[in-house]
Amino acid sequence: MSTVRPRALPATALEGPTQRLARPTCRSGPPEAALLRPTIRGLLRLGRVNQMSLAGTEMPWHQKRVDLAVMWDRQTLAVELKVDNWRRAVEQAYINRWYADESWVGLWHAYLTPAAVRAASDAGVGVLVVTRGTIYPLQSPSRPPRPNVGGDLSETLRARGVRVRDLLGEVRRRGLPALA
Amino acid sequence: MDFQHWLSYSHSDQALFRRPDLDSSWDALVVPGTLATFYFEGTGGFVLAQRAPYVIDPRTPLIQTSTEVKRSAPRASHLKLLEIHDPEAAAWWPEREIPREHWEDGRWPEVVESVLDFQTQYSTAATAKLDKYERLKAEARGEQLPTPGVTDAPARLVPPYWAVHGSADPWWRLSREAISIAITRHGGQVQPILAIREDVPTNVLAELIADLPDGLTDVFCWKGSWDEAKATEEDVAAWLDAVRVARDRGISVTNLYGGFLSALMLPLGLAGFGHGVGYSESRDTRRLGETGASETRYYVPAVHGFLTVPSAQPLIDHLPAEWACRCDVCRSVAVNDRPVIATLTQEDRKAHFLFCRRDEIEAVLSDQQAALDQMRGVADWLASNPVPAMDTDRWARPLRTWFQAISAQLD
Repeated sequence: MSTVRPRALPATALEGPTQRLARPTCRSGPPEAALLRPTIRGLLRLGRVNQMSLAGTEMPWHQKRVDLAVMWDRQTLAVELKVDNWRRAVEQAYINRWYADESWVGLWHAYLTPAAVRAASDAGVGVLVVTRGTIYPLQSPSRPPRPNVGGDLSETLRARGVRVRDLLGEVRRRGLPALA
Repeated sequence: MDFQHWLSYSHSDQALFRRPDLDSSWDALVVPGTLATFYFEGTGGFVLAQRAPYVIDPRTPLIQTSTEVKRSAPRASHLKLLEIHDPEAAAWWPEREIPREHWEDGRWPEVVESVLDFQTQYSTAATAKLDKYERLKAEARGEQLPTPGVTDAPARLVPPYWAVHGSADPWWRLSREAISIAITRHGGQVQPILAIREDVPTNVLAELIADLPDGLTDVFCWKGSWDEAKATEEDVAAWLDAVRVARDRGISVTNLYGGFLSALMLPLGLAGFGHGVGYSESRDTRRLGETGASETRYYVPAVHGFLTVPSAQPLIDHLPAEWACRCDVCRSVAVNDRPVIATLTQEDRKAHFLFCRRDEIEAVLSDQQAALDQMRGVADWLASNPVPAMDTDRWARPLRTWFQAISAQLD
């Protein structure tokens, strides 16, 4: 069996996590980039993706960017990661419902509140509780309001061609912030 | 001449202007001086091939010294623009700023004449590519090439102008002098632009109009960065006060950058308004140089506002289907009576906007009260049916304010 060599990531593949997500949060929680690795690892553990699944961070969709998008079994899954500004994350994830098969928010466990979970539920958005090492699905997302709305994140994921293992390798290589 | 709906010309909209189905969606063009000078032949060929009314905006605030905002480095087109104002200054700007005193040293009348000469000579001088653009237009429309004829001069002449704080501002003295010189040379052909800074109250427009020299019939007014979505009742009252002060002097007022709120003011005496295609319903006098093609947003006619494509679809699907757009563009991508806008191209979104804006103007002019009631109905519906997870009030708030502001003027 031949070994598939990991491909190099485009220079911009991790532009988001290292530049935007890495900014400190207003509270004393970890930077948002730190949620990326446990989220990807958690999705692997849950069997929602495998190492060869297409994946990307800061995925452009017209005028917005999705923090993390993965594709598995022809289904797209979008995750908005936030440490403490859950309202923004839920709004963004609500919008993602139109362009992904599943839309989630990944919220840092220490700041998870009943209000956040309720808002996500009202918006039809799934909730992932992010811990230092992995994620726990707390609430499943609703179905997309308009399946096959006409182009979605899968096209961008295919065009980039980055896979989960590439993304994890890049996160490790660039030494994104670890969670305390 | 009665032009209600002006469009700011941009190169990226050329294909749109060739569409015959959009001919009824605008009355006249505002051609930025930067494009008219820097792309002299190309812009000239395109604009003259339209055989439509146009003016050339000298965009003088691009070269205005500002102590408030650090201007980004001028582009080559800004230097070209300066050349038609003052070729001598083009030799050393932007290494040195151009102080106001530079324009006050006796050269200003010459500058004014130079800018006006550029406009009066435009239709005969900028014709090198006219054939090319007439051919492109005819091909796009499946029409015969027009018979060669005399090209149209600008519908109005716009003297150079500055962004000002009020009638006591020394920059206004220069602008006013330019208007006087232009009237002396060209009489009723002159339609000046009165530009006020974003940090002064809107009622300064009335103050400037009251201070205008005699001999004008039309003016453009431009309040820097005026965002209709954030307009207050006082803003609307100030605009309509400017309209009344102007009317008393026999002058019509056109808002150079406006949107649906400006359309609502048409039955109240505003002569017209302008904007870009798909954006630029507001411009900052200090940031004229910061242009660029951001992705066109989708105009949601029910809330009379632009939303990004990702944000617009949830709102479209949330609103009752009868409020979804029924223009030709949107009907072609409708599923369950609502458009699926991610499939629209940038040009589609711009065409949709122009169809909407045309219909809005017609609706307001045919029955202003019905247009107001519809707007109020949408605001009330959104208040009782918020979009999950989204700040729905950001769309309802302007509608309520506009309703109150216009209704107050009708009482």
